[in-house]
Amino acid sequence: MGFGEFDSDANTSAAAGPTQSAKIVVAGGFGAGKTTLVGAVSEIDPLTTEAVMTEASVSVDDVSATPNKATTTVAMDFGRLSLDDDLVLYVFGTPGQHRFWFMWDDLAVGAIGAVVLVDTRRLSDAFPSIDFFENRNLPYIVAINCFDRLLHHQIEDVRHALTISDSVPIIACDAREKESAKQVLITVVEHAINRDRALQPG
Amino acid sequence: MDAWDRLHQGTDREGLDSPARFVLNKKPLVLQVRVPGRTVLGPASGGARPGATGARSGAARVPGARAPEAGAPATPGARTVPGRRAMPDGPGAPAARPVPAGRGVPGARPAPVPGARAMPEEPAHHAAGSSVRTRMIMRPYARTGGRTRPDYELALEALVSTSERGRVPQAVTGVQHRRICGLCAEPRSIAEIAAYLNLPLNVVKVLVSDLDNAGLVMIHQSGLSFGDRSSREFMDRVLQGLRRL
Repeated sequence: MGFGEFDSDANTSAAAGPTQSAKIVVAGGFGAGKTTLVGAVSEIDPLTTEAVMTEASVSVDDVSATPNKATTTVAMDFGRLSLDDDLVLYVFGTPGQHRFWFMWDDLAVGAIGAVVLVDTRRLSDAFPSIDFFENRNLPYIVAINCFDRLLHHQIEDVRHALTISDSVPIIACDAREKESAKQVLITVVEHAINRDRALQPG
Repeated sequence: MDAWDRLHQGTDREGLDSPARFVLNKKPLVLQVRVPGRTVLGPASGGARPGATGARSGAARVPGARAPEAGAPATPGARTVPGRRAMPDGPGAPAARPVPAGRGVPGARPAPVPGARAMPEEPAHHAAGSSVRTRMIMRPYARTGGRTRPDYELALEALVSTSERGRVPQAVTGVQHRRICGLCAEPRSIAEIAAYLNLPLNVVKVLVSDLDNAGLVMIHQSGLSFGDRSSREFMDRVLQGLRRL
C-alpha cells in the first residue's frame, strides 16, 4: 500500500517536466564569443554572472584584440534548450579566466562533448582548453568564430597551427546566429556519437 | 576604540554575525573602564611628585570643562595642565596604568567625568550600528552549517524537482530550503537553482542533498557514461532533438 502510494507519487511528479538532462561545454579564449554562442542557442536568457570589467582586471585580461569588449565573464554562464518533453540540454560556457580553472572539472564531468571556440586572431588562447579536453578524453570540436562573417584562414591551416588530430572536426561558425550555433552543437553530438562507435563498435 | 571600530567596520557585510552588533550595548561600559580621563589622571598619581597633588586637582578640574572634547588621549590632558610638567607625564602614562587599581588613585575617583565623557561617544556607536544593520548578507556557508561538500556528487545539470512532500509548506524548514522547493515545482538543474537564488554552486549542492535526504525533492542525475548502449541512445535522442529545433 505504502509502496503503491509512493510509486504513484513518483509518477505524477515525473510527468510534470523533464527528467533527463544533458550538457555541452563551450570553451575558448577570453573574448572568443562563448557567451554570445550560449545566448544564441538558449531558449531562456542565459543565466550568467557577468561583471563589468574594472580597471584592475584590464591589466589581467588582454583586451588589445577585442577593444570593444566591456565585460568579462567572471563566472560561468549557461543556456537551456528543451529538446523533448522529458529532455533538456544545458550549454555551459567556461569561465573566461584561468583563475577559475577549478570549475572546469565540474563542467567536464558528464558532458556529452565540448566546443573550443577559436578567434583566429589569437589562436594560442585555445591551447589550454584543447589540452584540458584532450587530457580528460572528452570529445571536442573546434569552431572558428568568424567575426566579420569572414574566414580569414584555411581550416587545415588552423588544424596545423593547433596541432590537433584529423579526427577532430573543425567548423566555421558565427556565434551570434542561432542556426550557426545550433549547427555547432549538432556537430559536437555527432562527433561524440562517432567517437563512441569507434571506441565501442556494436 | 578607534581600532575596535576599524576592526568591525570591515565586517559590516555580515550584519547578523558581526560581533560589533552584539557588543553594541556593552560598549559604553567598556569605555568607562578605560576612559582616557582616568589614564590622564593616572600619570599624575604615577608621577608621585611633590607637586603632583596640585597638578592632579588641576587636571580633575580641567576635564569638566573640556568633556565634550571626548576621547582625548593622555597628551592633550597633559597639555592643558601647566606646561611645566607636560613632558614627564607622557612617558609615564603606560607605567601609570596599573597604578589606579592598586594605589588609592584619589585623584581619579573625584572625577565623575568619565560618565559624562562617554556621552558624546554614544551617537557615533549608534551610527556605526545602523550601518551594520542596513546590510544583511550572510556568508554563504553559514547556510549549510559550514559544510562545503554535499554527501554525494551532484552534476551541474542534474535536475531537481520538488516531491509531493516538498510541496507541503510545513514540511520544509529553512528559508533557502523553501525557496528551492518553490523553484523546483518544475524541474530545474543545480546550476539554474544557483543562478536564480544567487547562491554559490556548492552551497546549492549541499542544500539540495539535504532536501533529497529528507525526501523533499527528487534528483535526476544524467549518469552519462560512454560506451554503453543506453548512453548512445541518449545521445541519439539529444541529436534528434537538436535537429528538430
